Amino acid sequence: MAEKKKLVSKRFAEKSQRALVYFVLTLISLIWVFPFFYLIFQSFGKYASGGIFPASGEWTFQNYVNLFTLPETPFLKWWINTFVIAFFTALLQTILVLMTSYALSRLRFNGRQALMKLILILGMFPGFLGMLVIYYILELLGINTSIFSLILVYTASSAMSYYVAKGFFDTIPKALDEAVMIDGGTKNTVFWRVILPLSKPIIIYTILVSFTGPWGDFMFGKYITQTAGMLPDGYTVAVGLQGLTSNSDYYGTFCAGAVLVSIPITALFFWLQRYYVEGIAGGAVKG
Amino acid sequence: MASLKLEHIYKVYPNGHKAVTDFNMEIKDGEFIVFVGPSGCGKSTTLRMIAGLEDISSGELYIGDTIVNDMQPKDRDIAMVFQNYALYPHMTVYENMAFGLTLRKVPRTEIHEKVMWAADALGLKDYLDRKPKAMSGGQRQRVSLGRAILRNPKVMLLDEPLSNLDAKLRSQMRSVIGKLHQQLKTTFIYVTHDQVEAMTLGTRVVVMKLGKVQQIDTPQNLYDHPINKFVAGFIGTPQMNFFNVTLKEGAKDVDVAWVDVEEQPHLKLKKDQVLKAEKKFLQGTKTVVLGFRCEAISVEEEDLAKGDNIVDVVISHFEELGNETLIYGDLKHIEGLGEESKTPVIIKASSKKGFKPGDRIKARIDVSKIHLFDSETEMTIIPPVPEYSVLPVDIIDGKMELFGTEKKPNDIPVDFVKDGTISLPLSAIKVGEGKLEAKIDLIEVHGDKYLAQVTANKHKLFCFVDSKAKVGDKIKFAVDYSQATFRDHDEKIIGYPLSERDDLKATFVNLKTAFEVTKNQEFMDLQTKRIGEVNEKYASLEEEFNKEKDAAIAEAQKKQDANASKVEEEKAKLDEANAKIKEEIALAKKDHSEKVKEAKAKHKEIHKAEMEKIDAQYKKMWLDEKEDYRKSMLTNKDPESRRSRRMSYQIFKESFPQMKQNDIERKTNALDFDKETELGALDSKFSQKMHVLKEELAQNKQAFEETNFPLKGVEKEYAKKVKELEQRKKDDLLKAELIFFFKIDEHYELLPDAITTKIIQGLGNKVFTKVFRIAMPHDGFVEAEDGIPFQVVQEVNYGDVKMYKCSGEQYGEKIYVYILKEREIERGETIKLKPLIEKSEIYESDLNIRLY
Repeated sequence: MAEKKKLVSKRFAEKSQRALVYFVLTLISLIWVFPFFYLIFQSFGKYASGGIFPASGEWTFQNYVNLFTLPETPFLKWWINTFVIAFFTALLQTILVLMTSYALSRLRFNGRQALMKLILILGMFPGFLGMLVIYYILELLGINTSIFSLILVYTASSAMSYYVAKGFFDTIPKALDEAVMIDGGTKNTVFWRVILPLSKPIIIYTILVSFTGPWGDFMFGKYITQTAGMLPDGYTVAVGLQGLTSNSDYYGTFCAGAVLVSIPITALFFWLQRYYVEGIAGGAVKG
Repeated sequence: MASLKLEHIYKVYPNGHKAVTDFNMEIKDGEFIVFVGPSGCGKSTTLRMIAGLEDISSGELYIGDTIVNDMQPKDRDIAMVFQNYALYPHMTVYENMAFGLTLRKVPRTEIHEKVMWAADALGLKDYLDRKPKAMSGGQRQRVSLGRAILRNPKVMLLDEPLSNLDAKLRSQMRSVIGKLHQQLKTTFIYVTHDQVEAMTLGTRVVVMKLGKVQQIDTPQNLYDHPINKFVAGFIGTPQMNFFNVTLKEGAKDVDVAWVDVEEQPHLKLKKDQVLKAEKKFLQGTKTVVLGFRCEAISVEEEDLAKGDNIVDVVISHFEELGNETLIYGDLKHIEGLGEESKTPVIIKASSKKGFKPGDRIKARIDVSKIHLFDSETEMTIIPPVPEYSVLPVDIIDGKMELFGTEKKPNDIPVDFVKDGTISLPLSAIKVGEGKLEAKIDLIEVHGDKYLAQVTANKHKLFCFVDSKAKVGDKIKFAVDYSQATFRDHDEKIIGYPLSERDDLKATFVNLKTAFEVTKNQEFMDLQTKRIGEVNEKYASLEEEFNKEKDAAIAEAQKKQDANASKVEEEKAKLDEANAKIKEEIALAKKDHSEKVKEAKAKHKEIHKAEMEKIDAQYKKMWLDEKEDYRKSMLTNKDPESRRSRRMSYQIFKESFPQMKQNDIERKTNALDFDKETELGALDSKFSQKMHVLKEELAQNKQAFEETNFPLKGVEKEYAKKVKELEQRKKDDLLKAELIFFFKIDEHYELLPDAITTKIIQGLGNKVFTKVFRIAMPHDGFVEAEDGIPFQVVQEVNYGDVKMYKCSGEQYGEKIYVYILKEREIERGETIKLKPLIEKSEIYESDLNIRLY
């Protein structure tokens, strides 16, 4: 009998423990998704309401229509601006990051360790510390009036995020490089024809990370457009939408814009999720 | 196919660790060389230096007749097989093998032929469409071998290729590699730590330890004549038995006494066996290591019946190997396990013969198969070629008693010795010179040299003779006493030999520095002359080249003009042919995409069916269990069994989803793998076809251009040649400009280009900061106007060899050099000596690395 009691109590303990875990997780996820649902519901409301849901009878699509029709909210233009910037940044950044990581993983040169440490330390300072200087440099180059100078700003620091890709490259056996060298290749052959085809997860991870950065960045975009005194046409989505929050009439429109902005990113993540996880985990094997 | 030469190869890491020290070896074309040794002995490093994956710190590596130190691996025409296969995971077997040739721009059809040949030779034909991860270790290594052989390289390098395989596969692959070598007749270099592989595969084996070569020889010679205790212990399983003994030469034989087991009966050796041993080992005072293999000691009746050289062995345990038995024992009876014995012995026997552990048995040692090593240096004391001949000598009252009685040469540094010895190295016996006479007793061939044992005045000594010499011949010889070592009757050295070389210190300087200091116009003139020579050479080359170019262009022009009328027609033909190919490409693309779609649909179908199957299976399982449980609850009244049934049902319910999930995942993975394999095969077939078609397109176009517009091609070709010629001229001019000197104190000695290259090769841009030691032989100086001043101190008389001892000053220190006497010079006279750098040995002083 005693045995049975023990068994039952053990099972009970296990079950209650699990219930507790699930409860906490559910709570956290609710908190997590709450703002998102709030945003979606508000985007369908006529006026800004105090609660989560718009008041009854106030449901409308007008906010979405406004985004594309009102002259002060050229959302499509913002969207295209942002997309162009994010696309080219992602492209350049991916190439730079992968090349840097390969160099740091495979080539042995003087000061390699020191350089890696230096980059790590520099990366600890927030990027906006250099804003003034960056603006000054852009002015010297004569491109401070173009929103596309942001591509340069975002790409410039890209090599600093080499760790994950380097970690991944470290796990690819060096003998492969050597086999290529003996087969008649150069370091270029190794990189383009052997390492890259083997690094699909990490390439996709890098593209994702370097796309989402500029896509959602507000600070640099605001800074450039503000000081250059640009018209709404030259804004990025983040800058444009932020402008809407100052007028409570546009509150629903702001929410609608936010929903539309999140769609491509969400889609991208759902599509490439498998690789994303593989990329992070792949890098994690050997730091 | 090519020979290889490694000259004074060193690998020194930045922290000063010498991974490989002074590696010298010549490898003949078609040899199978095995590097073997314990881990960390530098064998892989040496191989990687040959491959070009590791820089050579110093020394030269030749493949064929070219120095390849600074050549990229791809230009060395070598192939390598790696321990972990190093196959490209994203390519199929076919692509893996073809990759090297593709990079070298070999035509597709040729690549295909070669891949098929290699696949056929290695039994890989059925796997060409597979990816490496779908293959076993043995198959992968075969692919890796195939990749290496189809390039038909000059040298095949194999870096522990079998150590990742299991024992059975290993022996299979060993025979595959052996057969490949016989078929290809290429030079193979094979690294392994497994001595079985070394012994079975190698035509010659290099045994290494701590970066140094121990012995280079055939497997049989390594086994039969190990040069030192390390090689003896490393080669052969089980390990050789070693014992400490002393040797005492008697009238008839040599008595061997055991040091650690005095109670054992002594062994007797024949005097012939220790002929080459130095006498100091044969006086019963020095401890010597005796070694013999397990087959040289026997417990069989017929051997024991011979009655001699029998010892007592206490058995500890057995190892039965089926056809034979290894008996482990000890010459000493040891109680317990705590103490480590100095006298363990392993005996190979045909069977256990009814012995039991603890038995004391008799065993006979076959003394003709023993080895003897110096206990201090661990080198064999009976080397195949002895370094010295040690002879008894007396020097009394200015008379030397050696090869008869003669007047003692003045400068032998010993005035009196009784019952002493003299050690003469082989090079000190100069056969064919002088007046002394000897009779040849014995001639042995060692490589390309003939070692003779001769008798001169009852003394036996060794020397090299020429190939025509015969046993019984009388020869004349002279003795260079400057190389002799004298010892008194207590073995104490009382007279040292004169060192073979005298050291000079030098630094490395360039022309500009040398000229600034010396203002010697000759140096500058030399440079001008060298540059002039190069310019002249290229002027005539260019003239010839231009003539050839003009002729070729004129001819091409003529051809083009002749064809001009037909261009339109040809163009139409080309377009037609290309349109056809393009159509084919489009068709192939469509066909491929259809096939892929079909395959994908098929696999989707299969996947769905399998999933349904699993679903049905689990549904049935669920219902069955439920029904069974319900029934047993109805019928069963025993509370205990009801409880256990309830429990098992509970567990089933809990684990059911996980079980199902696992099954689904397993099945999905297997199906995915099948799908990927099939799609991969389709892809690779398609891309091969596309390549062929595209190549055809390009070839058609090229052929069209060549026949109709030959001028363009010729012009391009010659533009390339002009560039090449210019580059060559530039290189040669640069070489002509670069002139370097050794600065020996105040003296500047011009360096020959060959030596400059070697030194720079070894040290890179560090040459200017290093101090060099130049070891000059006694015949390495000539008298010259611009030489280094030396003062003759005295004439030195070593009997047949006469020299002058000269003193000079270098960097504030007094130094002495000995030069061979070529003319009479007064004592105190100053002569100017110019060192012949080509005859010297050049060392880098800090790490003592030999550069030349």
